[in-house]
Order: sequence, then C-alpha cells, then structure tokens
Amino acid sequence: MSSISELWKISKKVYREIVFQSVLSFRTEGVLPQSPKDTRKNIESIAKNIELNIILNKVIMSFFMGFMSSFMFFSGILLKADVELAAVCGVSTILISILFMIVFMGIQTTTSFVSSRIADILIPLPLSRKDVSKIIAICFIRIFDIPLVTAVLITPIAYGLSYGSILGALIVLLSVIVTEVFALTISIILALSFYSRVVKGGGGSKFGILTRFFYMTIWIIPMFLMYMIFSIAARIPELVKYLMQKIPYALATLYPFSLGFLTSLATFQAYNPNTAILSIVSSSTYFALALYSFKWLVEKLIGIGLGSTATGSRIVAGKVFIKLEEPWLGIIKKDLRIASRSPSYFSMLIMPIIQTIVFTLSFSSVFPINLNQITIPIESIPFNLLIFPAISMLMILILPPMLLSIENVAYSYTGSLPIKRKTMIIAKIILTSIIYFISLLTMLLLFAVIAPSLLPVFIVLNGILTFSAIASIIIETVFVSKTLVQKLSSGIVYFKTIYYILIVILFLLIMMMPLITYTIIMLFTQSGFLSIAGLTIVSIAEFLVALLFLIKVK
Amino acid sequence: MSDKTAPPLLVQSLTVKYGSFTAVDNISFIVNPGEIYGLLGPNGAGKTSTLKTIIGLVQPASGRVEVFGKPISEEVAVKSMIGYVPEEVILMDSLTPREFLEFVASIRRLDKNTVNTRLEKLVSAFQLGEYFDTPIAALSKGNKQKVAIVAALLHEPQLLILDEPLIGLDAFSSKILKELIIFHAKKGGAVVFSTHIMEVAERLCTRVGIIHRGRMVGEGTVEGLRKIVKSAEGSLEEIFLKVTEQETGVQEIIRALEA
Repeated sequence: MSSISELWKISKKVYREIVFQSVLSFRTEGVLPQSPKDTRKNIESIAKNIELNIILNKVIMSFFMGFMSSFMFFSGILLKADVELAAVCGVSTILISILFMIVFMGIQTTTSFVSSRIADILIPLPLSRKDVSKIIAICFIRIFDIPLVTAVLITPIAYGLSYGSILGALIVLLSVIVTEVFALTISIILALSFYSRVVKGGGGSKFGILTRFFYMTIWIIPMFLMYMIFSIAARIPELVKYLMQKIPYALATLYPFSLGFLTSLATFQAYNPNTAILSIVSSSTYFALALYSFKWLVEKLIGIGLGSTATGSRIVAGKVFIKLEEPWLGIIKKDLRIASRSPSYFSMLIMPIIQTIVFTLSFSSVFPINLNQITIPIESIPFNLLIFPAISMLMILILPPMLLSIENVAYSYTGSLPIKRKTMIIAKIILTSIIYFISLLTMLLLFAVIAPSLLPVFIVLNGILTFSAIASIIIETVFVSKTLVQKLSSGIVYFKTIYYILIVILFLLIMMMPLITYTIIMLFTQSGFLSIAGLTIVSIAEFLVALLFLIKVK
Repeated sequence: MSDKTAPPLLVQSLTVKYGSFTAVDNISFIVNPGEIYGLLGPNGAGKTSTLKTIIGLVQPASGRVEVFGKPISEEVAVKSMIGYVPEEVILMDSLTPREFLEFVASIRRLDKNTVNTRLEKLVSAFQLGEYFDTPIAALSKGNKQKVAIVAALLHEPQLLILDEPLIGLDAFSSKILKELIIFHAKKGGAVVFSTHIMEVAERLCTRVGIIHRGRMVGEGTVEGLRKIVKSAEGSLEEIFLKVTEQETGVQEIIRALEA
C-alpha cells in the first residue's frame, strides 16, 4: 500500500486530469491548433488557465464564506436585544449558506468527476484497488478544499470572537462539519443521478422529460435560495421570531435551526427545557445522519474508484423516424436538448427567469413603500424604479455567449455541416429573446400580485426598454460569434466566469443607454416628458442599429 | 448549384500550416466522378489535415480547393455536397442518434417525404435500430462510428470524405460500408478516404495518393505505382513502404527486435 503522502502527490496529477477532461475532453476537438509544438503550448496554457480559474473561484467562494460569517455574527451582536435569537439566526443562516455554496460548486464540477473515466486509467497501473479509491476520494476533496477548510476555520472563530463562548464555537465547528458532509453528499447524489440520466437515457417519454426538467430545476434551487437569503437577511431574525411563536418545537427540530438553537443554548443556557431537549435530540440525530452520510459518501467514492458508475444501459428504441424542422428551429431544439442535460448550461439558461423572480420578490425590501397604494405617472418615475427592469433583466446577457459556446460541442463534426452563420446567430437571438419575454412576463405577473398599481407604468416602461434589450442581445450575439466564441469552449461556466462577467458588463452599457439618456435629459431640462421621449428614441434607435448589424451578417 | 462538368474535387498546391509547422506541403490531386480515391500515409503524414481542409474545419495557408467547381470559401454550398466521417468520432454525447440525426437533417434541409425511407434503410443496414434512442454517450466506439456514417450518407452526397471510416466497425458493418462506397462510385459519385489498411485500399481504390511528411510522394493506380517503384509482384503495402522510404527502416527494426 502506498503512503498517504505518495497518494496525495499522485492525486494532484489525477485531479488536474479530471479538471482538464471535464472542460476539454469532448469540446475543443477542431478548435485547438494541431502542430505538436503549438498544441502542447496551447494545451498547457489552457490547463494553467483552468487551474488558475478554479483557484480564483475557490478563493472568491472562501472569501465570501469568511466575510459572511464575520458579518452575520458581528452584526448579530449589534442587535443588543434578543442576542440569543441573533445567535440562532446567525448560525442557521451561515450553515444553510455554506450548504448551498458547496452544493452550487458541486453541481458545476462533480458530474464531470463522476463521469470521468479516471478509474480506467488508474486501475491498470500497479496500484491496489484501495489506493485507487483513496486517490479518487482525495481528488474529490480537492474540488472543494479551500472553501471547506475556510468554513471550518473561520466560522467557529468568528462565532467565538463575537459571542465569547468556546463551547458555542465548538458546537459551531461540529455544525459546520455536519453541514459540509451533507453538502458533499447532496453533490454526489445529484451528480450520480444526473450522470445516470445522461447515460441511461436522454429523450423519450413526456414523463421522462418532466422528471428531467424537475431534476434540473433542483440544481437551480440552491442559487435561488442563496439570493433569497441574502436579499432578506435583515428580516431573518424577525421571521424566526415569528416562527418561534407559531411553531417553536418544529423549528427546534429542523435543520439548520436545531443546530442554531444548540449553539445558542451552549452559549447562553437560556431556553425552556422543551426547546432545549428537542434541539439536543434533533442535533444529535443530525450528527448521526452526518456520520452515516459520510460512510455512504466514502462507499460511493470507492465505487467511483472501482469504475462502477461508468456504465450505461440501452433504451428500447422506438420507430426509426425523424422529425424535420427549419434549420434555425433545428438549432434551437438541439440547444435546448443539450442544455436540458447539462447542469451548467441549464442553470445558465433559466438564470434570467430566476433572477427576475428573485428581484421582483425582493422588490418590496428594496422599496419600503406601500406597494398596493402607490401610483406613479410615467413622466415622474423615480430613477431607482426606472432602472429596476434593466437590472432585473441583467442575466439575459449571459445567454448569447452561453448558447454560442454550445456550438463548440462536437465541433469536429458540426463544423462540417452547412450551417449558415446568420441562421445560427438568428437561432441564438430567438432563443435568448424567448427567455427574455418569459422573464418579462413573469415579472409583470408578479407585479400584478405584489404592486398592481405600478403595473401600467411597468408595462409601458418595459415595452419601451424591450427594444433596447433585444438590441443588446442582437449586437452581443453578433459580436461574440465573431470574436470570443472559441474562448468559451468550455461548457462549465464556472471555469469561465471572468469572460461572462466582462461580456455582461460590456453589453449592459447598450441596455443602459436609454436610461443614461433619460438621466442626462432630466438633469438638463427637469422635464419628465422630454426624458421619457429621449429614452424611447434611444431605445428604438438602438433596435434599428442592431437590425442593421444583423442584416449585414453573411 | 454544382458545376457537373467540374471534377468533384480539385486540390491544387494545398499547404496547411499550424503556426510554424507545415502539416501539408504543396499537395495537388484531382478526384473524378465515379472514382474512389485513397489517401494513404504514415501517422502524422497530413492526411487528416488535407481532409479537414476540404471540409472547412482547417483553413489552408495557400492553394486552391474546389468541390464541383466551387471554392471551399463558399462554405455552405460546398458542405451541402459533402458527406463527412471524421477520424475521431466526437458527436453530441447527450443526444440520442434520433435527436442527432434530426438536427443534421434539419440543418441540411432534407426532404421530409424521402428522408425517413432512406434513414430506415441505412439504420437497418448498419444494425443501429436498437440503439436509436440510446444516448450517444452510452454507445460503443463502433456504434458512434455508425451514427456518423449514417449522418454522412443521409443526404446522398455527391462527394464522400471518409477519414479512417473502417476503424472500430465490426466485420459486417465494414463490409456494408465498403459495398456502399463501391455503389456510390458506380452511381457517379466520388469518394476520398484515408486508411491505414492497405488491403482495403488495394481492393477498393481506383487511384491512391501517398502522402509522406506533408508531401505527395506517389499518386496513381496501384498498377501504375508498381511500375514506378519497379515492384511488379509487390502488394500496396510494399509499394507504400518503398515510396515512403520506410522499407529499410522496417527490416532494421525487426532485426533489432529479434536480436
């Protein structure tokens, strides 16, 4: 048997290979140059880039966790009153956030980990099966290493410093470990389930499509809840207080609140005996569950080490028959099919809709006004209300580069197909626009419920700004298809965050141009009517210019 | 529309470079209607680069490539006339063959009324029916190859470009493909294919071109090449080794191994 340090060293190379495979194995064929010298240089630089990106993303995630822990605990202390409750809320919020962040990282990377045929490479080497499994397990830990360690170190320290309780800090430490085990287990369950779906069947029955959609939506929930938590963070103590009055015992048994109660109990010893007993018993159950999950996790990792996940099964085939579409529709159908089977693509595809829902739902916390009564004439709309539609639609700008990056999938074959560039671009614009209109409709429907009096203003405003939004989508798609498409060869968006951020910032300018015009006119003329007229003219002008761009594409 | 009087494929002074590396160096050849043209050469000789340039996957550094008189810069028109099977079959893994072929057929704007009849025949010939709804990711290498072959033949292309098409195929499918290639040529179509299997090239090809280190070192019928290398009895394999100056190397290596 090899020593742990030897296995650690081997795992470094294997981990690199997993990361590399997950990004490049079947995506860049036909994109990389093929001279021995240039290919090597190019692959080396891509590999280094990927590693750097991963480290950067891990550091950002860890920084976020550290900042959040410190912020939640120190701000909790500042509440003065109800400090016990602040501790419960602080610990619960941080635990759930750690869980979501790790699961979010996991959904982006663990499917590649599970599906990589790394065991096939390791098993023929003179290593025992146990060693192969250990290497795979270490590689799995490497995916999450910095955030896991940061959470384990920073959270208890921040709690200890804020509340001055060593026992409380120890309970936090244990709670963080429990949470991390849960998060890793969920990641592996999702990854295995996703991988088995891809290997065992893609298309097929309506039930299959429905379950796949449901399954894929689950991947998005962590992101959605993460944002919700942050947007209503200030209201969590209020919410917990309310729930404590209504369902005190249920709350004390629910993860992560039970662990929050246990920590608070260890720090202040100030709860009624029933709540205290319930939180102790339920927390002990969670500790036991974490232990069981850990064992299951190890077994699964050993299974992956033995290559037991990389098997597929054959589907009973239906009649040999294909449905033909117009080329642009064929591209859209293909994009939707690929996206619906890739967690990374799918999360991006529905992100604009999710963002709109979250922004609209948190609208009332951004604007502390009585939403049912307020009525604003469009010419005197306040600026923060004016920019709301553009900001809440920001994520739509992620779609064109994401959809174009799908064109790199199997390029060595698809590159030989007679696809007109214009057809491809139009297909991407149509799909992005459909998602835009779904987001818009969702936003208006939500406004009809939470602020019906504002609905007419938002309908008119969004009607005007839609021209600008579609213009941004068109220009962005044309621009990215000409310039950046090969840089986006990876389907795992997590590895290419920086490109996506830059693209969004660049094309957000086009989307914001009517609003900038509005502000400038308002500054100089103080006329709401002229400002709205300026906003409308610029928005429509942008749309016409974008159409010209599109017409010129060959 | 294609120019019926122009040759299916004209490659003239083609040079392909990857940075400072010259993969294809001033190669010229013509493929005529009804011809099966074999592109032979050792690994890394430049065969795949030549084929990828014809199909538009690689940009040439210089030279002229025309398909039925159309320069390859007229991408869509040229690609519409070609059926291509790549050397390493990398398809869209998460799609099933049905979904993949739907995409390919839609892009090629095939006729709704005839495509399914042809598809049924091809799928049945390559025994792919039972895998039609299995994700490509779960298919064996051979079955992936069959999906690529069906996709390449579906639109009845005038020019077939096949890069090592027999690798991974079982004996039955290999036989079917060879028969299809012959049938395609008999109907007046043209085929260019690269292979390492000399027996296949010898049996199938009307003419062969031998590429070595990016250059065309021999071209003609097998008989013609025999005369050139003065090896009247030799097989294509022997001719190939002579032309690529590897014959002595092979004997030396074998002697060294035996010793």
